[in-house]
Amino acid sequence: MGTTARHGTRTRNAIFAPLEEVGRATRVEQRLADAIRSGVLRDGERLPSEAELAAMLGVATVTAREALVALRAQGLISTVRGRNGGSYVTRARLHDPDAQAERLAAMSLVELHDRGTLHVVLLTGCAEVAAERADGGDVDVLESLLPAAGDTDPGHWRHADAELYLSLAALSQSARMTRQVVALEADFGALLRQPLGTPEFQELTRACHEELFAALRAHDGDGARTAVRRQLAGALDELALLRASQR
Amino acid sequence: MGSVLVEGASAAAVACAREIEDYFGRVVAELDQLRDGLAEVCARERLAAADLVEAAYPLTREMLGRLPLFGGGFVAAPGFLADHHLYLAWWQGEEQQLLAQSTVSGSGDPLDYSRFEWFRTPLETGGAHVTGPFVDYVCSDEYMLTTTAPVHVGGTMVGVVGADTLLDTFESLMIDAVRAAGATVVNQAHRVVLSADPRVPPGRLVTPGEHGGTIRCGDLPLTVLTA
Repeated sequence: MGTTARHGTRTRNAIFAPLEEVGRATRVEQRLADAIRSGVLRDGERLPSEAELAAMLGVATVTAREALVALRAQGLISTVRGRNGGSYVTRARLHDPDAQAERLAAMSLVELHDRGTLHVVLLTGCAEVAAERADGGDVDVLESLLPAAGDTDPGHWRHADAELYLSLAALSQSARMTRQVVALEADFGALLRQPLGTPEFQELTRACHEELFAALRAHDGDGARTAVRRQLAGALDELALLRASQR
Repeated sequence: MGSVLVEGASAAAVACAREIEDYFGRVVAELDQLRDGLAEVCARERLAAADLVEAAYPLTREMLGRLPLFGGGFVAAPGFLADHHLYLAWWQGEEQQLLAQSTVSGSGDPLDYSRFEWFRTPLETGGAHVTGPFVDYVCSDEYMLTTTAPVHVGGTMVGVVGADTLLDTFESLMIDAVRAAGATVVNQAHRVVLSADPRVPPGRLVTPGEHGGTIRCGDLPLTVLTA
């Protein structure tokens, strides 16, 4: 027997749902925006033309055009004219704080906590396995990623934190686990790191990561798990508060 | 060269170490050829990525066709190229796609690969090195053994040439020899590469000194352990 397609799941419904007349352009826009955010459509990738897109999605050309205009306004695509012209994915704006604030405001609390739960479970799991499998040299590399004391540059912190979690996932020695984390990071990482803009949260993060390094060195799986959970729970709390303050 | 025999090692274990040494010997010979083929382009003033890619692509393709490699190419030392601070003239996968640049998925920023063992060790030792097993999230997102060798121009290291062997491939090549020897192959960090004991996963750390026979695979950072 092959795998049975599970009809009725949300994922399937989302893919095969007929696009309703009302708000078709918005739906096209959301579908493409999600694909860009999650990395399914890569940075620099060329999108089909308005006419091709319209034919593929079964909408009018004018609707496809409307969706592309909205994506352009969000900074998710840019349009080049001329012989090699067309619309190209620009993921760069994903890391712009204004874009993140808009996205956070548009996200329901249910979705925020849902994403948070997946993130915490996967990364605390990575931490536990990494504690068993990491050697001292591996932990030295992780430690070298932390910004220097006194460095409060949000960009440095966000980059360092992203690479640190990616490295932690790789220390599980599981390529599949690492790929899951890469996908999760592409989708939610930039948002989750918005709280790293403040020195207070940077310091909490430093303390948690140092606790993590000590636990990894001691091959203490529970300790590694606890340290990661503390940092991620802190980030999720800050995000939830940030969202509430936007309303 | 040749495997160093230490007490307790069986003929099968010696043969296993020899087989591993031979395989990576072939990989290193390919890397030597790639490096020599790139000598002229690497010696140019203010080299641009496009010129590097043009020179490296045919050579890398040939290399990937001759051995069961997942990917390979040239990785520039930071600042070596005139137009990119970090650059990987690296082709991989069935479609042999060019990697060019690698970013951290959570931040979107370029990933500085110069601190990784596969880049750093050839710089420090001046010789070829086998890194792994490790999950390579810079290039392939696969579990990998990466062989790298330094490329020097006038005494300065301008990058490394490298070739990736999937751990899956290594397993299929070596499992018979490993089983025949009842051995466990580990790297310099005592991390398991492949074991005759099917319950022992690659990537696990083993305690040094727990095994009887210890055979180095030539100059490689790999050792065959037997009970």
